Amino acid sequence: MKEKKESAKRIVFTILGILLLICSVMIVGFAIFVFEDTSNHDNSITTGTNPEGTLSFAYNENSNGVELMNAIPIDDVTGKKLTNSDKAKGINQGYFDFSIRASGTSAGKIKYQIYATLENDSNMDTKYIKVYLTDDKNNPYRGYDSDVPVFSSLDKYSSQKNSKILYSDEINVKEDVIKRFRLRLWVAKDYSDGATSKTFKIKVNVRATA
Amino acid sequence: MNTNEEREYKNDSKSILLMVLGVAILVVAVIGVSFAAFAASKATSNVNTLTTGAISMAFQDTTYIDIHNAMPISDKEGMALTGDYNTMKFTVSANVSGSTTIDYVISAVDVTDQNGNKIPEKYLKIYMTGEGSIISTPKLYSDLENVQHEDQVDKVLAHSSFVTTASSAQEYKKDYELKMWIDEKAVIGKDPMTFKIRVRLDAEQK
Repeated sequence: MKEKKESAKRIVFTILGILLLICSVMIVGFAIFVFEDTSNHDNSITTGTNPEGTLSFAYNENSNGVELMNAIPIDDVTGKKLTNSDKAKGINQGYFDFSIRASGTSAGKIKYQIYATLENDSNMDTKYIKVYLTDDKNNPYRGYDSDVPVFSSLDKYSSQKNSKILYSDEINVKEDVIKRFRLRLWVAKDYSDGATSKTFKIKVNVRATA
Repeated sequence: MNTNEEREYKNDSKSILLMVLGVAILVVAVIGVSFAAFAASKATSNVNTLTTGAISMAFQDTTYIDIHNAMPISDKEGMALTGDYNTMKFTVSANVSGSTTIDYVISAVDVTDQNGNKIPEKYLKIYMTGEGSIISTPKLYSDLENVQHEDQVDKVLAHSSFVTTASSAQEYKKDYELKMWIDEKAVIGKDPMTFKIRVRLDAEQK
């Protein structure tokens, strides 16, 4: 009798064990596909790899944004003479003073690009926006010393959408030079785009290049 | 052998027979499941069918980020980054037949040289779009959700899944774009600092 009970117990445990194993296999079987992979390249970002030094960008305004709103078309002779006080006279043309400076201990140079990015709410046709870049003594920089270009004709700045290169050059580091810029913008004399009010807005920035 | 011993012998034989049968069933079950990469059951109006299929997945990066002389920039400028070596574009795809769900997680694995000058995680902004839509607004790397992989803590970039229904083999694909930049509040000096990541894909069928 006792042996019968023992035998029955063994059978029950055996069946339970087998059932448990089958259940485990089924659970594992339903999560059988897994996949793992990693990208082929490192994605890398590095600051200040210019061993010569660092570049800084400074401006006097509250922001590095320049806006033309309700500006009247003027000729290039007038545009080149725009002053900061012209805005107060109701002639809302763009005028922006800024500077760049390289600092470091090397005797080398840093290459840089000054670029302007069109703001989202800018809706004026850029072929009518005149761009004029000078130093703080109003001497035009290279590219602005003959005909005054329009914004649409400037070279694209490839690292940023809707951006144009205003100027590119290099700057000495060891001399601790501050290079000053004055940007003037105005609506071209031949502008005719109806009576609707339009806006032109950009942000100016500078980037050291390799 | 006396009667009791005979009985005991018979009982033991039964147990052994049952165990052998059980193991045989187990082996058949394992072989059956192994030959089907996944299994789904679908009941039609007339016939009960069991559909088995196969899954293959692929993770392909077509461009990668390699930015030098990075300066702090605003989120607006960072989101507008474009062009060679400014963004990472990659595709997650699966070739599946049958009805199933494949969940996947895209994460960033920090592979920066820990002995070099490293950009602090709180200075690095990360931004991802998928199929042209924003997956998440720009976030600091330090604020991304952690995910444990073996003995490394990585950062989650995105979760998603493929939910498949076609009875025949079909390709499912999603395109992603990753951007990263130095946060405009970062303070950087003249000594170069670097941050490097690789993107990792982990997928599992549910």
